[in-house]
Amino acid sequence: MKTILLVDDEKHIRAVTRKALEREGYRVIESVDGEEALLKLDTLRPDLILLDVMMPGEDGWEVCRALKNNRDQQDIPVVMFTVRTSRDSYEKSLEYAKADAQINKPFKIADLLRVVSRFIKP
Amino acid sequence: MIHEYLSVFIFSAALLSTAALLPFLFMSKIMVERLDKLFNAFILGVTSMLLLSISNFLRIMDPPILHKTVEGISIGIFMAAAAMVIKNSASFYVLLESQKQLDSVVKQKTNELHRKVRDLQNSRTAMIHILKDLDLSRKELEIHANDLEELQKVLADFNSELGLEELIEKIAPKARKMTGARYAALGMISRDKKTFERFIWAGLTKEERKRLNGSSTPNIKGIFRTIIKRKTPLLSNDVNGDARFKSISKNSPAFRSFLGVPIQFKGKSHAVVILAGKEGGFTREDATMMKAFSQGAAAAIENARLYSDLEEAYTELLGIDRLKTDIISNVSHELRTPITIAKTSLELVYDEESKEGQSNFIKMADNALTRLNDIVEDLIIASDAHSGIHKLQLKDLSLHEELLRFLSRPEKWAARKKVVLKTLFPTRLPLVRADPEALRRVMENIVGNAIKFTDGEEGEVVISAMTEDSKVRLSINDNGVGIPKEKLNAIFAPLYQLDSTTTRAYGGTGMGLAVARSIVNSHRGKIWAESLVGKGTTIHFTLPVSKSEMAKE
Repeated sequence: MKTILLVDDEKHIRAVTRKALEREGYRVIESVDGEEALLKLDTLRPDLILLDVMMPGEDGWEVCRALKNNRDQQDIPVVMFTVRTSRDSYEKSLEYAKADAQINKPFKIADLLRVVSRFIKP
Repeated sequence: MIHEYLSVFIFSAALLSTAALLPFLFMSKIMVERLDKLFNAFILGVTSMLLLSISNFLRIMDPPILHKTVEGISIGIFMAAAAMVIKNSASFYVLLESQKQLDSVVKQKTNELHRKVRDLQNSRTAMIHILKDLDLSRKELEIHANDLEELQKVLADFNSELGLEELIEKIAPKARKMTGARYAALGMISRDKKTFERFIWAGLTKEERKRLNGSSTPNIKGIFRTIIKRKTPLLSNDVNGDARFKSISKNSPAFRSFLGVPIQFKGKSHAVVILAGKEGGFTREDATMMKAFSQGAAAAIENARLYSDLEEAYTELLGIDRLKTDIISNVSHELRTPITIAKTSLELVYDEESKEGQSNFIKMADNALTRLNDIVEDLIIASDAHSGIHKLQLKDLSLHEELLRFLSRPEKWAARKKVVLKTLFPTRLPLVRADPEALRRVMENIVGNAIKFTDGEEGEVVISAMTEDSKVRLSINDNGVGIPKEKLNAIFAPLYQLDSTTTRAYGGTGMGLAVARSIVNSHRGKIWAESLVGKGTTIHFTLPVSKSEMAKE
């Protein structure tokens, strides 16, 4: 069973997203912000990270950039998960943060699953 | 015998008179003109003399008759000659007299002329003096004209200076230059009118500046108070002993001549210009010129103050506007989170328990959320466009191919309202240069609006396209309610709907067309509307034809 680390400060976003992913057969671990996520990553190696952008403390882009600059963790696919849908934000996700993909909120469950399945199958 | 003596006498007389006439003959130039006549008299004299000699000779010879005849003829001739000589002498005398008269007249006239020449010479000298004077005053006039021109230039420069700081730095040096004063200073009156908030000197040497450094700006009393109160320039070319001048800083340089000018605008004193130390003292002209100078400077200061107030207000407004845009943008983004939660929740519920009856309500809620999300998207695009962060990803697009995608949502809206949606595209349309996502938005907004404001009964929306030079024009025509002419331009303004009642009747954010305009404009296209109330509306917009198409032609 593949594990997904879901990082989002919104409790209910985490709840509905977790449900959608678990129903498909993924295992989901949650973090409320970037700091907690990075701590978890010391002991845990998920198969994919679903990372919100707008969070208290370090934003998702900075967290992703830190991960991608870390030799041990740079292979983990990171999908930005954001309400920031402008072209600028998209470019920042891929070029600055070096994320692997981006899912815009609100999303259709089918679209979420399609993007995730590009990297991992349950 | 008597005949003998008589003839000898006459002969001698004739000879003498002829001889006496001779000098006159040669002396007078005027006689020359009469030479021929005198010559005749001379010949006559000589002839009568010859005849007398002949008659004497004949008398000795006898016969007496011949002698008497010749004698008679010679006497007759002599008489004629004598008469001629006398006549000539008389006319000569007349001539002489008239020449004398003429001479005196000439003398008189010459004297007159001389007098006139002298007069003329005198008046010429006078004239030269006048001219010299004139020249002097002309030079003076020139100086004044130059001053005026310079003044005009200086004031024009002041007027074009909108920065208050830059302006007040300029005033004292210019005043100094214009009057030729050793020192000049500008004192800016503070709001409480008791002190100067700034006191800027011009013309100080390093030492003088050093001495003044650190001394506070003078209080408005003494001479300053006088200048401000009298509202006209104050000129004094000997300030020694005048106590009023003690109010100028004791560290300021010494001077004897002084010219102080208030700078006032509409009765309000802004500042005081003082000029001090001028060789030969300040003149009335200096005062007059400085009065004009101060009026110009006052207007310029007022202008600069107004401008800086305006700039401050504008900056503040810009800040508020940015804040507003940021708030709209942030709120809009924040709204997406609850929408996501609601939509995903509904989707999960719908999938798990799709029972009849329940699913309809779930669908309704989902549609409502989709609409809410569209509004949020409009808000985000509008605020992005407003802050200019809207970026386009231009591609060469075939409108024929894109049309299906553009109209997938409008077709549903039209069907729901039973409005007929038609397209009228020519078979060949050049590729256009546009951002497909942005263009989809433009089409959805315009077509969506057309459907919204068109009634179901016989309602029709027609989308047509045509090539126009290097542009493609798209037109969306409806037979709906129409827009009054005076409101036609306003429909592209953000948050515009005809009135609040239409908002209630038709819904929406009223931002669709504003978003469409900002996108069309960023494509360097144009957007405009035509409408007739009760007949319908047509919105036109243009898109640039792709460069590859241009190359083909």
